[in-house]
Amino acid sequence: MEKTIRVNRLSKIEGHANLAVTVEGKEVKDVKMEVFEAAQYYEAMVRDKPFHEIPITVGRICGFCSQAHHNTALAAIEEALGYEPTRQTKLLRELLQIGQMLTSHALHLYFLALPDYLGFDNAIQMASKYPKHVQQALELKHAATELVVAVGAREIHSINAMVGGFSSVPTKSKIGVLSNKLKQSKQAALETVKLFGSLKTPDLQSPPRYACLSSQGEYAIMGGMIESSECKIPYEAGKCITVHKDQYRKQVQEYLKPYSTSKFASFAGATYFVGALARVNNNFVQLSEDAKKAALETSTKFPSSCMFANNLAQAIELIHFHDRAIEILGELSKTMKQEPVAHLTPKAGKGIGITEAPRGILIHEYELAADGRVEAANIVTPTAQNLRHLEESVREYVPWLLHLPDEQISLELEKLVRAYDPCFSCSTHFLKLKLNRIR
Amino acid sequence: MKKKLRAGVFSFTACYGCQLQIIKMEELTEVLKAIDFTDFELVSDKKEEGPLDVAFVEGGISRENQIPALQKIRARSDFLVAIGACACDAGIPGIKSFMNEAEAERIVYGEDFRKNLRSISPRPIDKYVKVDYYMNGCPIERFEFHKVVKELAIGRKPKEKRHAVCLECKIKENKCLLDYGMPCMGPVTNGGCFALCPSNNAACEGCRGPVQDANLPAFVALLAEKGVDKKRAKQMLQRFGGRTALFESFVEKMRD
Repeated sequence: MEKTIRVNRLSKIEGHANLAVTVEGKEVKDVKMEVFEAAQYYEAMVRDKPFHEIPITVGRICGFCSQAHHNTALAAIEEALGYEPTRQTKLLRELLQIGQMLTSHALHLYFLALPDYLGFDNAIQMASKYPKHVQQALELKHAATELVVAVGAREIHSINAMVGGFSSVPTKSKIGVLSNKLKQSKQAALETVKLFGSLKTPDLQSPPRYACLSSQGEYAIMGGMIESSECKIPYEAGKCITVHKDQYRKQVQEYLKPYSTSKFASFAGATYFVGALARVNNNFVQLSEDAKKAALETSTKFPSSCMFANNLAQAIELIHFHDRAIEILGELSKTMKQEPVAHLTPKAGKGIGITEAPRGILIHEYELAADGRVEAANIVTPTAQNLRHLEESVREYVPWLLHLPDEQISLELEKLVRAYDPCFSCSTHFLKLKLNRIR
Repeated sequence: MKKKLRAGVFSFTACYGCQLQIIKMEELTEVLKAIDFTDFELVSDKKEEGPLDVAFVEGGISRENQIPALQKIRARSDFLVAIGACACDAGIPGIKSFMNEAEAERIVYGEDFRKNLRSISPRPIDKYVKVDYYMNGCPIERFEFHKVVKELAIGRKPKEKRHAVCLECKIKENKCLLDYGMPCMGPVTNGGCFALCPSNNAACEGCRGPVQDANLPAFVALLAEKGVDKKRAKQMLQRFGGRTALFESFVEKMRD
């Protein structure tokens, strides 16, 4: 017997897609993430356009990750032109990336994920019963927004971060204000870890390969080697995969499936996960002391291969990124000045930028012609890298749920999908669940 | 107390940045006193069918199945606001409409996969439905959203204010970037952003779309003086507002 459950337009994720699950008895026959977000054509649209306009154009790929796309394109283009940015420019870009992480994580945790666990349909309804949680969310959101506006001049799609430097910079006094604001909102970040550490989640084990950027002496977000989780586990060292960004095409393979406008990707031929959980798993020792301490006080042990822990990992990162931002602001408060934007001469070349976006590894590659126009571009987004992993986690999870009514199954699967924090405007919109039961 | 407005927020081809601006509003709790979002997919599972006082539509149209969905939204809404450059003017995704579109599809997805895309040439939503208010910008400005909600809440029909970005630079006493050789689109672009980009020493990129009565021939001549050739001038006009009537008819007549 075949049965179909539909949740029309799955909500609280970024984009449109269906999840189709076919079950025969207790066996999961097939899992498909059918992304039907309108296809995006950025890699074609940037062709023939001058390099200086590219970062701000590609920031428009995604409102949630705009600064990450912007920064990654800046890095790629400056590499193609053989330019090394100043320390101040690097620190300001890192602040933008951190602002992006804080905004994206806070929104995902409180607006998209938390209502599921507290039994509300949405964060707006949650406000009357849980005013404290909503207050924390707002505090985090406001602090992060203020940081992004101060550095990038606009909440979304920053405008002054140019190839060659920043066309406007915050004043020293603004830096002081930001630093104080973040010291206050850090308290909300600490509370967020306690909150998400206390939520009951199923102990679902997902495919174990996690990949993120790693770099000596820092919790890498602005560059580094792509490393798989095995590299950090002594007895798994033999399976460790490290990839320099210039070699990404050899290991990160994008492929297409007829049911999705989003691309899929594999890493060294296998399914993998990128994002907060990968970073916290692989680079735990490099987290700030307070972030580590807060993580150790929860009952979750890292590394964890339970995908629901991705929410907690995001919360832990909220603390870390507060600490790192405060550290950077401390340095800039002494040295901040308006530096001229370097005027770069066009030349033919190729550059690859790689960063950690809120949802994981983001790669941009550009080939420039001698007159500085883009000849070719390739963009690999985190969600594309995670789709296969998501399908496999769903496959693992469904048998746990089959005794439940269909409506409950949908809800639980939606929770799992949301834990991935998928973003389909980026990877190409989600969700309608189709459950086919063959009995 | 007057009844709250019933509102929906919908998304087509866009980046979600404009919806995000709504959620990120510091005044959100205040806005919620005047408005009930009965259909807002990004934040809620629950969707109430039925008539809406106002629909906020983000994104342009670039897939066939989006057309009937948009028409359905129009049919149930008293007032329809296009939010952001993509819905108002086709925006950045509209760039594809000036390319060989089959080629663009091949570049990104390959020939074999094209049949699965069901992409159509991207256009602003007013190609398919009547728009009552154009909230320009990439992204929209939060204060303008707040203002529109307040006006609707007291039963007024909001109307756009139209003037060029240049006016706002004058008010702010900014130096003119064009005088410094920067290809700024302020003279032909709708203000309402308080000249945000020029105020940060960045040339206006035209994200708020063409201002009415823009003197395009004079603008292109001015760009030529700054060393911007026609091909590039065209690209600039086709970046955000290329599919607006004003820019489209002008660019068609431009000779290389």
